[in-house]
Amino acid sequence: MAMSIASDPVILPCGTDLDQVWTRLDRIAAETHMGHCPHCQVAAGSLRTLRQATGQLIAQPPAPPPDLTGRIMAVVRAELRRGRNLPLPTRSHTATISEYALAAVLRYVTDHGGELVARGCKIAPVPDRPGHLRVRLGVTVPYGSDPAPALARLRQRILRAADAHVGLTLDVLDIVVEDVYPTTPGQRADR
Amino acid sequence: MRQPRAVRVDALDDATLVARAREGDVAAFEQLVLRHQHTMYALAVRMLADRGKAEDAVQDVFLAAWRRLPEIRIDAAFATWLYRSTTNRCLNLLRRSGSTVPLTDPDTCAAPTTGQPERVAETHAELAQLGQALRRLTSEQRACWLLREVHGLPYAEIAGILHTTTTAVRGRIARARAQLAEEMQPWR
Repeated sequence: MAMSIASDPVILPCGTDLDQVWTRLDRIAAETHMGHCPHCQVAAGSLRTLRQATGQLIAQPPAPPPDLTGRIMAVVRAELRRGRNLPLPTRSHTATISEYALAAVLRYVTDHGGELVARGCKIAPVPDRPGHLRVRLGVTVPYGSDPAPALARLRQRILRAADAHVGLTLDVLDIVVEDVYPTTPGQRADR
Repeated sequence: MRQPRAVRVDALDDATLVARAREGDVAAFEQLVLRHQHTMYALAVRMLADRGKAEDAVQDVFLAAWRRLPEIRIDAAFATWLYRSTTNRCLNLLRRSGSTVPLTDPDTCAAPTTGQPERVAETHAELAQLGQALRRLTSEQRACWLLREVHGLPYAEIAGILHTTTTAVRGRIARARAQLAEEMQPWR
């Protein structure tokens, strides 16, 4: 069975599991058997050499070629996504705006308030009412402060911006707090 | 009037960048590439022992991420998704090429450039030896060992990446460690 082979322990001639030597590598001298057994001592020396070389491997990662990001992003830009076309309220109903372009405007407004950070922004047209939309905007708020006043200010700014910059009316605007972000500079929430 | 302060894209967490990239935000996606390409490239180079193939693999991984973002839910665990994608892409490439990696590729492990000359030579020799020993492991063992000992992933996460059990992962790592130690400094 592949699984039993994979989990078979590696046993030294003295009967000790090599894994035991590995987990006690730094305090092996204090161990009753391992501290004196020549087999364990030799194995420990070998494992220390491996550990030292592993440290070197971690300290010196091979660097990707400088143009790797550029190559990836060239393909990404050639495959831009724009989302659905949303009708703008014009008399002929022929003008549209892309869903993602509008999402970018609303994220921009959110980010430039200085308080909250935008995540995803889902936009759906209200059926049979051109120029009317439902928006769900995810935001993160600074850790440790009451977000209610900032959320109220953001709501006003977004409604104004949708009307003034794009000429759209938001019938429903759901602002959803999805996470908090640390307020210490240089810290990221994901790690 | 409050002075507007723009949010720097490099200060955003992965979940925020992924949510934005899903909506076509190229700058957010570029930040994800800049943030994670080094780690994925290091993994791919050591899996494949070939810089050119590693480059192609990492490029494919990120492009697959860009194309699949609208349909997959990976907001909080983008790094895990990248690890899974990179590891499995490398394993598939190795399977297709008959599981062989070039035995000598001195370019794979960078040489240290500072310190006492004797120590530098010694470290370089150790690294070269470890590089060679790594290439003699089975590809699954190499993946398990690299993900755990070099990239520091938990056993359960590695098991998820390789679609196996934590027991199997522990076993593979123990065997890999025994083989690597033996090749670096024989103890049997």
